[in-house]
Amino acid sequence: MLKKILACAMVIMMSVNLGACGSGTESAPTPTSPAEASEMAAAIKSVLDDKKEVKISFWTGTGQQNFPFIEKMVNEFQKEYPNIAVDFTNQGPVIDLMDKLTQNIVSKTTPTLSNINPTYFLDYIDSEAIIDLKPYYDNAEIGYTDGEKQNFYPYLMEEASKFGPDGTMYGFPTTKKTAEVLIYNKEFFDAHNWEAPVTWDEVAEYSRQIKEETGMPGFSFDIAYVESAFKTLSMQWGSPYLTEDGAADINNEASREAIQFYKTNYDLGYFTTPPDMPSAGGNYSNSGFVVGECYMYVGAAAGIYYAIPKEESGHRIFEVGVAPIPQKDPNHPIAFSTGEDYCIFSNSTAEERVAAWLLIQFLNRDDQNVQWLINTGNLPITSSMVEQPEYKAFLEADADGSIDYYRAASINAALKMSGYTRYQQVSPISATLASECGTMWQSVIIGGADMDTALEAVAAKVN
Amino acid sequence: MKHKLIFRKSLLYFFLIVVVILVIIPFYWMIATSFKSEAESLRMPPTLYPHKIIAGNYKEALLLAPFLRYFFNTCTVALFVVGISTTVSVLSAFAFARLEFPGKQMLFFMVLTTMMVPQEMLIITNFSTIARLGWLNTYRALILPFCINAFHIYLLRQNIMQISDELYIAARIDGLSNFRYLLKVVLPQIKSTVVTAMLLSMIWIWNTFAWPNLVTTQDNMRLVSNGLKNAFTINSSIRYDLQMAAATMVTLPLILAFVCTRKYILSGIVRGGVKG
Amino acid sequence: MVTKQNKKDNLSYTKTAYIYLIPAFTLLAIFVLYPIINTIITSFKLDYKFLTGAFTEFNIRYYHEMLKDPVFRRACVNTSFIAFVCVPASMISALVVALALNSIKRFKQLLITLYYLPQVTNVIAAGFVFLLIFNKNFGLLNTVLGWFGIEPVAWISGSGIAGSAELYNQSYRRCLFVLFVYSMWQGLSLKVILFLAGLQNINPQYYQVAQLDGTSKLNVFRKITWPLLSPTTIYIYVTSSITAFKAYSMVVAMFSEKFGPPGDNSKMMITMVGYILEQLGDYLKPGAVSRASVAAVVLMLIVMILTALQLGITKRGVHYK
Repeated sequence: MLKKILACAMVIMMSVNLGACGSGTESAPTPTSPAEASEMAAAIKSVLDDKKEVKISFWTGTGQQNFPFIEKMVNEFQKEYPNIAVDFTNQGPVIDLMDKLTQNIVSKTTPTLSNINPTYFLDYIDSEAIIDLKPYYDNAEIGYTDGEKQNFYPYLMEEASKFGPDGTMYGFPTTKKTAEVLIYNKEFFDAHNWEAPVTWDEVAEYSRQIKEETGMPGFSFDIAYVESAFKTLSMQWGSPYLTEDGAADINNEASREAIQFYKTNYDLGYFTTPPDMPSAGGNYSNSGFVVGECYMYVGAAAGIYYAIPKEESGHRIFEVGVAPIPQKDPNHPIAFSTGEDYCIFSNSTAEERVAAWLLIQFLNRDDQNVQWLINTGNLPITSSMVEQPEYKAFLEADADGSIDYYRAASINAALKMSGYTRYQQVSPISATLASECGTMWQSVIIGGADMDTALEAVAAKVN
Repeated sequence: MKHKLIFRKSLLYFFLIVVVILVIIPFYWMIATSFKSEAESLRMPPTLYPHKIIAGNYKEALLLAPFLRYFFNTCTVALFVVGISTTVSVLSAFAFARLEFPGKQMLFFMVLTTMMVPQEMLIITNFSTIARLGWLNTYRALILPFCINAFHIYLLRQNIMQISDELYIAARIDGLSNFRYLLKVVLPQIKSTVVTAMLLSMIWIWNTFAWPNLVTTQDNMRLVSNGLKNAFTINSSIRYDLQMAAATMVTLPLILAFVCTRKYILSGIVRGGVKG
Repeated sequence: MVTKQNKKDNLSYTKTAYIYLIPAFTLLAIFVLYPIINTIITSFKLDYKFLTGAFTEFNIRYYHEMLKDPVFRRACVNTSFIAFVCVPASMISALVVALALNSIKRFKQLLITLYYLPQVTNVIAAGFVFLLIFNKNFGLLNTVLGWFGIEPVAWISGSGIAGSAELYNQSYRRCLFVLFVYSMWQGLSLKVILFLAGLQNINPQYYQVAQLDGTSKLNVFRKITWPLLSPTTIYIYVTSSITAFKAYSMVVAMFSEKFGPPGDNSKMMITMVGYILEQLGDYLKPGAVSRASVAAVVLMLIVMILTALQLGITKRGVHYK
């Protein structure tokens, strides 16, 4: 009897599942045909001119402390467009948000708008869960003019266009972008008449002297962004890391030299890693830096607050400096930005999409983002942002050792890199590659694994 | 002779106290951190006690997220889960312990197997089910999946099986239906276990995170577990001082519940009705 | 045991029994059995794409691959450690504590409430504290060891382990110790409460008679307490073992989502549920959900067999009346 029930159940489940894979989604294909274009035009008219009531939902994933800033922006948006109601919720850390979105795509209960990690775009596009934003971006009425388009940092626009096939733009940058910068003990450096290091050789040399003088390592590289240390260093040394087609290319001489550079210095005690520092011990170097267990580290610009010594935590106060990330070859500098992009889900009507696009535009307006950027330490995404009066004042603050000054210093350092900052390329294997490289980096540097074997193992696993 | 007794008793107390101190270290740390300032909470090495007591953490924590709403939701869900799941468990446990019917062994084993599946795999399908029923962001979705609890069915069944057969036979002879027997004779005897099961359900609802997090996308439906985990993150760091303040507040109802019910849990059965 | 009353009674029992079981089994069917069946089916779908539901064919290939995976075997070993070493250890300790608590009079209520506290201690706080205790530089344990002149031990450290088998094994042993202590702390509280409740269920008359007879304490325990406690004991043993097989959050709290100390690339401390979740990843890789389902199915089978064995072996030792 039980067997019969099981058999029936299996048939039911199979038919349900087959049904799910066969059913088309309600996605509108990328509107290139005149029919879709006119549908969009009609929707624009109905939302903007006829002021039709539209309800959209927007999910974000941000720290609770940052949430009020976005909430304010969303409320301002609803004031400007009274016919658009936004159901706005925070879904916790981005990881949780991504899992929720994935589950909701399958059950067709997605929100209208959300911001997602770049690595998710490929699969979401493949399953037709999100729509192409290019028609909205180019649109005469609600898109951007050529001048406005050029105002956005080009690498961000390029990133958004590379998620899908050529000529599409499935994502749009959020103002949640950050970059890694070099944070150093300015007091110590000034005492030795040192400038902030520009090349890795300088970092190594300074670290050697620091070790001799203080007995502490000079430099640490955060491992919070998993593959960042390996990726940044090996690419600066000349390794492609990812080919243009998106395949992994890490088992090469450049990667070896980069790893060897770090390892040699690590073994000599000049370099260290967060887990090795007594007061740090996690993925971040800042808790060790503030008590002098290292004198320089590379970490996220937005994390500057934790690199400032505080009396209440029992730290000795010293002046901190922020500089662009060091380079192997200053003539071919490489730096990366990370952060989410917006996407609009296909599970929506034409009017809802127009409304969501208007919200994206609003959330990226310079004047709206002043408080957000000041308080979160994220990077501006337009060149014109630095001209916003309040933001400009913030960036030009006096060197008074206050938290605001340091936040500004951090942004200034990151902005110096904006000429050569790149986006992180995504491909079907990029997420796995990142994770494997992160583990490999730690196992070679800290664990003492053989570099060649480790590189080969990762290359084999990923390709 | 008396000295030996006192010595043994003191040894016993000593042993218990040493172990209890080890056991409550994390609890102490939770409270101590809740009174530290942010800077002090990040201090390495950590301080044993707050050098400066900050009472404002509690207020600040409450303001960061709608904790009162979360608390209300958690209480509501807990109320229903405790009520429904205890009823379901008692009925099922009674059937398995006392009644004879075909397929009993197999069905009981089936109940046991549900304990063996990791929640993480169930969540994926259950989310689809709930979404398809349109029950996202409802109390139903939060309550129903927790109403089936194999651990409690098993626990209650063990206890009911300990009740002597004579009581049952006597009841049947007196013409009592199974249900009245359950109500009048069994229930009073297993009171301590039932209260234990209720308390455990309550603790579970208070702590469970994965499922409520998935099915509630609206802030006004979330539970305290969600608030505790997500409300205190700034970028990638966590405000431990505020989080521990919230955690301490969240813990209080559970401690209160235990203090109120420990009398019942530790009361033991009242043997009566059958002589010799 | 039902006396040989009438057949009519038997039938009505059956009907009553099924009626009593309907609520439980309805919920069971929807929220447990249906997902289990779904999981089993998914475990055979190759290249299953979660977002679209598409897959290439039904095959048992993922089962083959998993059984050959060294990480899977490591997960089995670690999970067995928790289930067969940590659980009995914490059961014995809990029993000792429960007996001790049962025999004192003063401060009994207070002490019992204190032993209950780990149940309500925030998991994050607990994880943090234990990491602090085992911290190489400031940890409580190393400080105490220092009083005895012992050098500080790097409890959770991956330095040099990828290069030397000896260092790896040493690190592994230390991590197991850390896990052991943490799981003891976690498991003690509930077991103490359950044992205490079970002890209360023993009729004090037995003890009085034994006292009159002048029975030794040891014999009281062996002949009275232990047998009458056996339903509780078996319950705790079976459910704790099952819970141990599902261990995951405890390991992540101590060893991060990499399941090992920094510098480890072998997922040293991974457990079976950890393996499932690791295969799951972000759901999107083709076949990810299937592989996770395979691991879940195998885990379920293992636990089922072990539980059946446990119940079978101990059946004779359990005395209900």
